[in-house]
Order: sequence, then structure tokens, then C-alpha cells
Amino acid sequence: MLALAAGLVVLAYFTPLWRLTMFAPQYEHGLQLDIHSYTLEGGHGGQDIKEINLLNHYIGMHPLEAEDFDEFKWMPFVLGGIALLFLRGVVLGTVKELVDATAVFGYFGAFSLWSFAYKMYRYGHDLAPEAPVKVAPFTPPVFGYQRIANFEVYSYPRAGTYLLMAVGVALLAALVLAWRRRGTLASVS
Amino acid sequence: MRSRYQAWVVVIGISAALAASRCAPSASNQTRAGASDVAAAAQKVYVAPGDLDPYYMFASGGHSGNVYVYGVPSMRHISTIPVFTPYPATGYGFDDASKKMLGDLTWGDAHHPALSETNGDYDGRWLFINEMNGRVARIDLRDFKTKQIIGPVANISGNHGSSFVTPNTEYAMMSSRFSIPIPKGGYAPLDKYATDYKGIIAGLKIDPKSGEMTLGFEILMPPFDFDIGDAGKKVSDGWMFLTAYNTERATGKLEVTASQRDRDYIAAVDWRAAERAVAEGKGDLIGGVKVLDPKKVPGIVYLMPCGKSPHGVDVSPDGRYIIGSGKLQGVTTAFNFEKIQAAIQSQAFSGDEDGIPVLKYESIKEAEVPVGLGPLHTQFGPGGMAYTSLFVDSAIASWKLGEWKVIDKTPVSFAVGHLATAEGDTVDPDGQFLVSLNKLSHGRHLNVGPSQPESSQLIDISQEKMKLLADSFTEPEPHYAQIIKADKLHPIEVYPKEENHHPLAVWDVSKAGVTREGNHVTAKIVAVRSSFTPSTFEVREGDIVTVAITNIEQATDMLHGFGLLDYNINLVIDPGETKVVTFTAKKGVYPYYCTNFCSALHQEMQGYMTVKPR
Repeated sequence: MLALAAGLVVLAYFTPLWRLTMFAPQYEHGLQLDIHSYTLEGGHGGQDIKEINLLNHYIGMHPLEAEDFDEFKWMPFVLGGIALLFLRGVVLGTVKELVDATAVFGYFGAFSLWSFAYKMYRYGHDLAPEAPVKVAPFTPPVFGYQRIANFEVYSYPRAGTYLLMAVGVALLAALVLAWRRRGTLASVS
Repeated sequence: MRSRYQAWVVVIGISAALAASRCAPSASNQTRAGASDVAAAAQKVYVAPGDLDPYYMFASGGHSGNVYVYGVPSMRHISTIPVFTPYPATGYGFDDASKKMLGDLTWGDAHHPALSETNGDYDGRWLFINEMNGRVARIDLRDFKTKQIIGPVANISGNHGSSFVTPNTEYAMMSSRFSIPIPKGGYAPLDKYATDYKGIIAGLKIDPKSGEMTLGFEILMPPFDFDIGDAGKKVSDGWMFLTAYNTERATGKLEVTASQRDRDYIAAVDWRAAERAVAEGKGDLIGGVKVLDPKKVPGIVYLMPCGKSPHGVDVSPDGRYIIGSGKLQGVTTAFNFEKIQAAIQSQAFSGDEDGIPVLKYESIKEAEVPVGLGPLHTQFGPGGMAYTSLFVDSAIASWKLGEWKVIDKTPVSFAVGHLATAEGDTVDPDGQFLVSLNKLSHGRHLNVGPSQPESSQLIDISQEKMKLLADSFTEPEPHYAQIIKADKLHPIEVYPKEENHHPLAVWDVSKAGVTREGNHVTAKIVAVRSSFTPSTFEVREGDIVTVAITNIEQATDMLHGFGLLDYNINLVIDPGETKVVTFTAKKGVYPYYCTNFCSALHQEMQGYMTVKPR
């Protein structure tokens, strides 16, 4: 189970975690922004992120740039670390390792979500005072739909996040299995 | 008795008066064009909002110097491509590059668009179009922009019989409609017209990769008025056919003097033979170019007698028949290519014109089709269908190759010149639609005063019986148009950044700015929603100023303009494009602004050029 979880974690690195999609009358096909564990990726061959930044400059928002996300520097390593931790659990095969791995993973998941929400808050609140268009500070949606000026904004997890959720499920399943076999030192891998 | 007699006289008189009044109806009893099933016609032409037409039509804009782009069957005018004339809407003819391409001429009489072909079928790469001042332009269909104007080409005068391309776009044609003493600038009195004035037929060689045109060959011809052409295809590939009127070599009032002979000619040019002769170094230098004289280089051109004063000549999709019409006759003639070849082989000539052999009409004719009065041009449909425009009858006749009988005739409003059917001059015509390019519209539209538009009428040719579907009105003057399947074109929507290699391009706002070398100032300006960087710059009176603007947008439809007041400068820069204009600074302060609406703060996209006095 843990080996599977490790595999899923590695897979999560290669798939986008979250997607923001924005529609407006003049953008009927939508502008897309995919968040990976290591970078931002605009739809339409990267053009969408340029377009989003271009539009955001009117309200004085900082341009969205991968360099501004410290998360992109540590997240891939943490993912790798977690995968290694899981594999360590597989090799050692003790419930203790499993509980440790679950705790670390849980903390990582919660921290990442908070970090994402906080980033959204900062982008929507740190608006340049001299911006041509004054808007009330706002937080773009972390999850679900929100209307911002002429845009419908949708924010939903993508494959990477679902993979990580599957990791969580796998960990819980492993814990349950371990609980049932308590007393024995049978491998939970 | 007497009163009864008088009563009869009165009755007969009234009857006679009634009868007489019925002799001259108040309107023609000819079916008025447009009497089609309205609901069915409306459905055929209705393209719902947001939906796309299945065909493009490229119509020549005649003396407007433009090419107009329509969607068929909606007949909506989508875009105008400026070619031979400045066009402020796209900034054409205002920046250094397009000004240089136009040269000293700001006018051109565009006539015959020719879509590039591969194996005789439209390939959607380029559109060529001629104009009367001896020039031919190439439009790239990747971005719908004029890329090259060649000419005025030496020795050619009145380039009407042009720009028809060969089946693999090896050559486009040029020819003289108004012969002159050559080289240009020479003098000979008009009474020496028949001997000292010369016509020219030329082939423009087209680079198969870039589409770049260069002069391939020129052939010295008698002073006939060369009019329209078409290239042979399939069996007749390797030949060009060009009509000529005024083979009388007359001057003065040509409507009389050039209408004396019963037959004029179609010149048949073996362009591969001409190509070989040029490769062998043959030809005499006239006006700086090599000109082939058929007397010295036999076998490159023959004359086919054709009905009096012919206008159009069109080769059938299989290449077997060459359709030529005398515009003062009631028939169109189908010439058989095999018979032409046999006649040339057996040297069955009736004589010659300045050393050019003349074939015998009867020996090369396949059939005469009684299409009606004033036949001009023929286009084709699938299954051997042919459609001939009748100027005098103001109608279109449909008929069948091989059967040579008229199938249907439909009136048009009014006085049709050219006609276009979907891919109707290729080896594989589509049928479906025909557009009748009429010269007169006579008030079939809201009254716009004496300067009236031309009319283009869409006709359904999917059935044997032709049906008028819609009227649309076109700016002067569609001489010829071509209709191509929309899916053959793949235009770009922005100029990709990585393809912009302009030496003055700036993509980084921080690198925009002004540099000076002596009295030459270069302002590299970035345009992006919704500002110019720099938004002000200063020069000195008398400086030569080069303004280079790069639109760094990569979003569809995000054009920016650069209007500099009081300088007659108006650029439009497409996304990803760099445009340059050079001028001399005069003292004062001059605002510049974005002319092409871009964004919510478009109005604020402005700046100042301040010019310090010396």
C-alpha cells in the first residue's frame, strides 16, 4: 500500500495540482492557469498567463511569475522526501513508520493548501495603489466559482491533487489494515 | 340606322385603342431576376452568427486597387486586402516598407486574382493579382498581406491579360493591352502603329518555396490588344492561352476600327519552349530585359482564330477544351487541344502575323455553343458543366462539355462581366455556388446617389436549374473573383514572437527608448495594452527620425495603431509585428496615439513627441 502511495506521489509531481479557469464575454474559450508543484503554466501554449498578467496590471496586481513562488523550490523535494519516507516504511514495515509517514503527509497537505490560499489572498490584496482601475481587495477562489468583475473564475483541483488525495486514502487504508493486524508484526506494505 | 352605324364605329374605335394600349406593356415580360423561392433561398445563404462560411471569395477591387474578401454563401464582406493603394485602415502605404513596395504609384487597376495551384488545384498558399501599370502583386494567404509587387515590368503596357497562373504555379502571365513603341519612353507616330508599336506576352517565374516573382520571359508580339488568359492544364499543361482584340492593328475609335475583321485571335504560348529558349540565352535585349522574337525563335507561339473581339478564354477542367468567345457574337467556341496540336504538327497554317503561324479555325474547332448574346467568360462545375456569362443578354447560360447544348439560362441584374464558380477554374470544380459579377446594379439597393456600387449575385448551381439566391453589392470593381474552400487556408492569428527578426524590434519594455547618431534619431517603441513605452520622446528640429514600433501582444485581435498628428503618419501594428516609419522632425509638439481600438484604456494610449527648435 505504501509503495503504491509512493508511486502516486511521484506521479503527482508530473501532473498539475490545481487549475484556475476564467471566462469573460471576450474570452469565450476561457483563460487557463495550471499550478504544478514546481511551476505555473498558462493555457494556449503559455499565452494565457501573459494575458492574465496583462489584464491584472490594470488593477495593480503583481504579475504571476513562477519565480515568486518559493513553494516551487521546495515542493518537488518534499514530494520526493515523502515518497522516500513511504519507501522507508515499506522496507522497515513497522506501524511506527506508517504513522510517521501519515503525519508528515497530512502536515504537508494541510500546509500546501494553506499556502495556496494565502498566496491567493496576497495577490488579491497587495494591489498597487496607483493602478488605473481601483478594485476592492479580494481573494480569488481557492475552490469553486467566484465572479470577479467581468470574469467568471473557476478554481478546481486537477489530477495531481486527486493523486495526493488517493495517497491519503491509501495511507488510511494502510493504517486500518495495520490496526486490524495489530499485535502481529506483519508487513503493512 | 345611321346612329347604329356610328355606335359601331365608336365600339371599334375603343376596341382598337384598347388593343393598341396592350401592344406596349409597361414592364418587360421577361421573368424578373430574383423570382426564386424566397424561403429556400434564405436558408441556402443563411450563416448563423458565429458560424463560418464554407468558402472564401477573393474579388478584385478593380481601380480601387484592393482585393475584397467575402464569405460564400453569406456574401458577407469580411476583409479588405490593400494591394496597389494606401489603405489607412491597416496602415498600408504609410510605413517605410509598404511605401517602398508601392513606389511612386498610389493607384493600380487590379483585375484578375489568381490563387496558387498545385497539380491544377488551389493550394491556398498565395494570391496573385495584376494591375494595368505593368505590375503583379503577391498576397500571402498565411497572413492576408501583400508581400511583393513586381514592376512596372519593362516593355509591358496596360497589363490587363494577367495574372493567370500555370497548374503548379510555375508562372503567372503578363501582357500588353495597349501596345506602345518599346522600350518604354520611345516615340513613333500613331500612323506607324501597325509596324512600330509592339505587344508583349510575358511569364513571371514564381519561386516554388517563397513565391517570389521574377521575370521569366518576354515574347515580342504584334500590336494586338491582349486581354485575358488562362493556363492549359492536364493534357494541355505547358501552354498559355491569351485572347487578343484589335488584330486589325487599328488606332482611333477602336469600337469601330477594331471591329472590322470577322475573327480575332487567341495566342497559344508554349511556355516550356519559351523557358528553354531563355535558358539557351536566346532573345534580344530591349528595355534591359531579354525579349524572344517569334521570327527568330519559332515554335513558341501560335495564333488561333476566334470569334470577333474575344474577351475571356477558359480551359476546361480536363484541359481538353479551350473555350473562347467573341463578345459580339451569339456563340462560344470550344477549341480541341488535340486538334490544335495536330494542326501545329502538320503545319496546317493559313498564314502568319509578323512570323507567328495562324491556325485554321475549322481545323481546331470542336463545337460552337449557341449560348446567347455577348458571351464573355466561362467557368466550370463538376460533371462537365460549364457556365458562360452573357453581357449583352445580361444572363448566365449553363451548358455541358461534349454535348455542346445550352441547358439553362438565368437573367442577372445587370450586365454581367466575369463570373466565378466554386473552385471553377481548377481541375476539380466544386459546383454549388456561382457568383455573377455584374457591372450595373440599377437601383436594386438603397439609393446612394449617382456613384453606384456594382452588384454580385449569388446563384445556386447545385441543381440543373440555376436559382438566384441573393444580391450583394461590391465596391468598384470586381473584374474577376475566385472562390476557394475555406479549409484549404490556414492563416495565423498573431505573428509569433520567435518569428520576429526585425532589427529594430524590442520585446522588453526596459529596452525601449531613443538613441541618436548624429542627426538620425531612432525611437524604439513598445506598444502593449494600454500604453506606448516611451510615452514621450524628444528630438531636435531637422532630425531624421525613425520610429520603430513593436506590438508585443500575442493575443488574437490585439492590434495597436500609431497615429502621429500633422505628419500624415498612420501605422497599424498587428500582434507580434514591428513597423517602421522615417520622417524629418519639424518644430513643435506632436501627439501620437493608438488609432486601432485596443482596450478599456485605449483612449489613454497616447504620448508626445516634443521637437526642440534649432
